[in-house]
Amino acid sequence: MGPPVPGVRAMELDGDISLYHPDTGQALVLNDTASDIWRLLDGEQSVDGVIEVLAGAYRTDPAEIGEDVRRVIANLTEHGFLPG
Amino acid sequence: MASSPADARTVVRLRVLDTDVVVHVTDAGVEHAVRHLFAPFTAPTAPTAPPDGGVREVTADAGLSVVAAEINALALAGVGCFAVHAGAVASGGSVVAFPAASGAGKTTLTAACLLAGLAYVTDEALCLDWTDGSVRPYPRPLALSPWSAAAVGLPATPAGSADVGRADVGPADAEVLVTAADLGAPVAAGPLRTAHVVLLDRPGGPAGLRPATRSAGVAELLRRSFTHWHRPERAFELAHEALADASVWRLSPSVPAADATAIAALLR
Repeated sequence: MGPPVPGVRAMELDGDISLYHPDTGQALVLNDTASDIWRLLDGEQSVDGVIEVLAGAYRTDPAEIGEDVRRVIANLTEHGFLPG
Repeated sequence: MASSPADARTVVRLRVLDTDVVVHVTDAGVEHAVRHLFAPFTAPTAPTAPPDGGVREVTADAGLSVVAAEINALALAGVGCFAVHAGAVASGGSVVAFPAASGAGKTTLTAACLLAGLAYVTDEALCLDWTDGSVRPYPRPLALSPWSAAAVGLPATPAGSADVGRADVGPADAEVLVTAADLGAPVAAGPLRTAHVVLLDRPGGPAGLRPATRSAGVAELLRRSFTHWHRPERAFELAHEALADASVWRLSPSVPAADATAIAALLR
């Protein structure tokens, strides 16, 4: 999954990432969970891989967070920050 | 936006943010009120025509609140900075800004803060310089509804209130226009930087200030900006830069004086 669309700007404050899309001018402020997901979207991980890594980091079952992860990725894709 | 009546006897020349405004007045009392309310914006000389070919002109025969609203609209339409709908007060060069939508209580809270001894930055637009994010004061007259005036302990309809004389506004609904000086407060001056951002929640929540994330502050600055579209990427950067050394809080507005005390405590 990923990497981000070329040109997307990311800025971080206190661990929360905000994104800027150069073509649309849109800005998106991510919460802490979405920020963790964004950091894993380097083109090397599959969606299931991202879920596994986060589940391990949060010490929870992948089934608990899978839906949320997929929803965040879908949202980022819909807004053009990830390739569709 | 305005007209220039041929029979106007007096003009009041103003420089409001980045806009030259000429106010035509036919009544000495109105002229005095306009000069008082817009004292921080008095232009010492005749304005230089801007590149688009015209100085903005306003007639003052429709009531002071209408005049003030027209001048505000002209100023905000021409402002050359990253501007955010917000009230803001200051002490010693540090600014507390409270971005919020219209009607959320910015003016009431700003007035309460001025009565608590803080300096006036704005009750309408936090203006951050595009280059370095420094704060430019916009100390326009505060327009208080009778409710707001009463909430901060001012007379609801003092003589000379802004809407007196308007046929469409009864005395009970007359708006009060006041300056920082009227409230015993100075206008903020000198280098100003954003030190705190207070996010206004709905009334009825927990009392007092509660820590919030700086990313929530970024989101609110961008959400309440009305000039971000001029330079969207720079606006994105500035929202982060402004908060890099600032703290963010949440506040459920309650009693204005108590809220002002809490905000003043941030600047000690």
